[in-house]
Amino acid sequence: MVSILAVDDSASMRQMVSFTLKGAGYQVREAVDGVEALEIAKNEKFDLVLTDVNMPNMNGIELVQNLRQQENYKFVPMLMLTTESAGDMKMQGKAAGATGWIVKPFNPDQLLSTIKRVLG
Amino acid sequence: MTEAATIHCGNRLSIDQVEGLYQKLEAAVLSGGDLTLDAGDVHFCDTAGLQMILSLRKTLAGTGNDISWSAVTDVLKDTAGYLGIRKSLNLPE
Amino acid sequence: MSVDLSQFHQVFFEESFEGLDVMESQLLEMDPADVDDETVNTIFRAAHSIKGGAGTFGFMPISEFTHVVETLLDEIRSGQRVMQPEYVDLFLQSVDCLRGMLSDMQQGNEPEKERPAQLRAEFETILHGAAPVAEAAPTEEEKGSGWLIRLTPYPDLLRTGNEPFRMFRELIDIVGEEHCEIEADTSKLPEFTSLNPEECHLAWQIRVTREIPLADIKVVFEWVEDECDLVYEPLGDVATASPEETAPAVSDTSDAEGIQVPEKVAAAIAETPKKSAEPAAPAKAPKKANAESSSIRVSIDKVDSLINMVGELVITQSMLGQLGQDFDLSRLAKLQEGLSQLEQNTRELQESVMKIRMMPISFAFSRFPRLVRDLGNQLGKKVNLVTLGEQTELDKTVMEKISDPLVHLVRNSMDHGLETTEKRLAAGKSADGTITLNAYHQGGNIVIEVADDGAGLNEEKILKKAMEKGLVPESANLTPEEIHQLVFLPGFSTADAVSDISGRGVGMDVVRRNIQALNGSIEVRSSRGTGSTFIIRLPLTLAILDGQLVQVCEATYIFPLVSIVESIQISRRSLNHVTGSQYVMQLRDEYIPIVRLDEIFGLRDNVQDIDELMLVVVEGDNEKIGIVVDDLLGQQQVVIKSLEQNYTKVSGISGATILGDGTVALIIDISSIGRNITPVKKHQGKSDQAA
Repeated sequence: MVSILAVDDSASMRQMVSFTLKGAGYQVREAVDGVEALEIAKNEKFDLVLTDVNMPNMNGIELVQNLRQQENYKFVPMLMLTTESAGDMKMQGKAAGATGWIVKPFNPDQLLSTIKRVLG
Repeated sequence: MTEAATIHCGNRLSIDQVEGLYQKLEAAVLSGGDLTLDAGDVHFCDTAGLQMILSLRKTLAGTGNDISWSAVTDVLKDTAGYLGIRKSLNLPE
Repeated sequence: MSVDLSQFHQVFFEESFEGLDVMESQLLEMDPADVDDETVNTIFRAAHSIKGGAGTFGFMPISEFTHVVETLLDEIRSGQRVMQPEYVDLFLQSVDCLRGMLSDMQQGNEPEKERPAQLRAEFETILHGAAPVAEAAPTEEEKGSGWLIRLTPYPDLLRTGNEPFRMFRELIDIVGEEHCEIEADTSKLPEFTSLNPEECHLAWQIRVTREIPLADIKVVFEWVEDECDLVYEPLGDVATASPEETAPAVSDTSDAEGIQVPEKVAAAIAETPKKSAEPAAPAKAPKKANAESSSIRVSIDKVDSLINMVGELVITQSMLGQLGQDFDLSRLAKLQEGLSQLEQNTRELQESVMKIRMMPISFAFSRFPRLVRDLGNQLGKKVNLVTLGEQTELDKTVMEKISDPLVHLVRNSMDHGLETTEKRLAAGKSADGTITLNAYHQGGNIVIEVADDGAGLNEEKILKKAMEKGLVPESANLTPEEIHQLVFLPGFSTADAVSDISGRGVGMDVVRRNIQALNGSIEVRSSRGTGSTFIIRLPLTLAILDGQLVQVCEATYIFPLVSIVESIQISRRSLNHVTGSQYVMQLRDEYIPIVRLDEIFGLRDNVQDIDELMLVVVEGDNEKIGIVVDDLLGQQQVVIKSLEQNYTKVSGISGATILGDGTVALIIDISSIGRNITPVKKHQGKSDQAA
């Protein structure tokens, strides 16, 4: 089963993402910030990491940077959930090792069609 | 001509596995001769994996050798199809 | 797949309100002259989340409004702009405005438009006085009869999870497999022995043989634009162009390749993701009534500990069950042990369940920085607010109900307690007044203090006023402490003129009544020149009451322990007859009315005359009354059950509980008992003492 780590400090976004992905048959773990995500990722391997950018404690860019340094996550796709207004965030994210981004707001269908670009 | 060696491709012919497979193939290339690839267990492959086989074939061609497939999964054929390299890989129809 | 987004609305609203609270408190704490990055970041993040969620869940007015707020915050955070005091005000107004819009939308109404529009205009004036420019509208409106895409990845493209075959698969989904020809260029591929297998050395040429907007194609490659050479050419020009095209080394000229793709990716993407195409459908009227269905967030720890205890309870239960199957007296000790285990489990479980309703008082304190700031401006007083013990927990319901009384007390302290700056300076104090909110646990109660460092209560003025209003006899000789308590009397107000701030028709008596309704108490301590402190004591929860069990005839009643002043045994002779069946009694220098529960509840056919009476003196609504009971039983904590929900409201009874032996005991509502008796002038009748 394809497993996805969904990281967002906003409960409503996290729930929406997680609900959508589970409905599509993916296995989902949730984390509220980069610190928690990193902790979870140490013990479990995921096929995709979806992370918000702006989060307390550890933001999405730092999370991607940290994950990429781990042998297990060298090639794992990581997508940032970002907003259009944050153009340079996309570049920062890519520089940190993110695979791509999903622009917020997005609806469940957009989410599912977009992640197929890195899964399967 | 020595008898074709058979190399098992594992179940992932992808970037996270190429390192290990590369070493197996390198040893086979150095010993010369044709190569048979068993890709019957490959349930995922990607550009890096297939590109390595392409490069292998190119190098073998320099010594008049080639690769052949003893088993291929649909996943492998499909992926090669998307990448436009089915023929280059000498894949069966 | 269709997902009903409305199921996430409630969570969205809750977290957005929380986000606004965070923004507000951070803004209030901020010193515009010396802004630290983390504060701005925190404010930005909150705005950002609200905007993102609003956009996702289709609350466009909120997302649009938050956008300008976020933009200005972003410019400050990135150092393009310096925080100004007027920005802080504007942000605060925006917080209020957003709060209004959110609650409108939460109730399924259209949010108001005028205020957001005004504020937006202000933001846009700051942000170069121009409406935010719609970001570069798609320029390539060319369509052509198709496209030739040349994709030459840089060696590192594969390392971060991007995968050409998936992009091509997506492209085929968009344009249709019969319109897509993919050809690989393997000419740059190194010899096997010098190959780094993690690098990409292939290149592709893709022909899309169909009329399609370029933007629809570009989206497929958006993530790798900076990791490859990517060229799009309209297909018409292709024949003449591409001079440098070299024949692939391992020849692979068949165009057919791309077409044979056997496996169709199910659930085709069909329409390409267009920007926020549809969530604009305005929040379809969410289930009404439920609009403010309240919920609490419970930390996982608390839930885990509950689960743990239920686990233990189950073990004990099965142990007892086994014991009961073939029980004989030899196993009595075992049974007793099991029962005490059960008792412990139950108690722990009860405590844990209660804890779930506990929230830190910071939720109630959090509104005060704003209130103090605004009020300070209004009164022209500079006031510092200090909050202590913010992590002290209390029941959510108690917290909700104590909020308004607290606001009143703080207003009162700022208005009446703190002096004007001139008077402070004249008295040798600091120019800025200080209001301190402090919360802590004491025994089974939570204590909340509202303290000011103002002038303290003016005893002469209070006493004079109380005498004028006939609340105290002219002859009364009261200690300062007794005078202080007079401010809680109904109809008392010392304000020279009813001010806009605290003179809202609500006096301290109402504050006291509200607190008593929560089974709490309030007192004031004051010291001339150095300030006053209002001290509120509340039970930790409304679900459990510390009760005094009393017996009247056959029935057991419960008095809230907090309202009991003392219990005394008296002889009939010390009662004075007033009118009809109304008696009073002199207790030290006070006359207190006497009520008989057996009479009120009609428990005895004829009220006997007993010589020795057991009297419980209670205080409710600031009036002491003596209640005659037959006997005092024990004191214990009781769980309050609503009589209203389970039966009907009964005058004089506030609820019921079930005692250990399974009988029901009624809990006496002291205030309503007090109100039902014929009012007795407290200090009347020193003359008719004889009777």
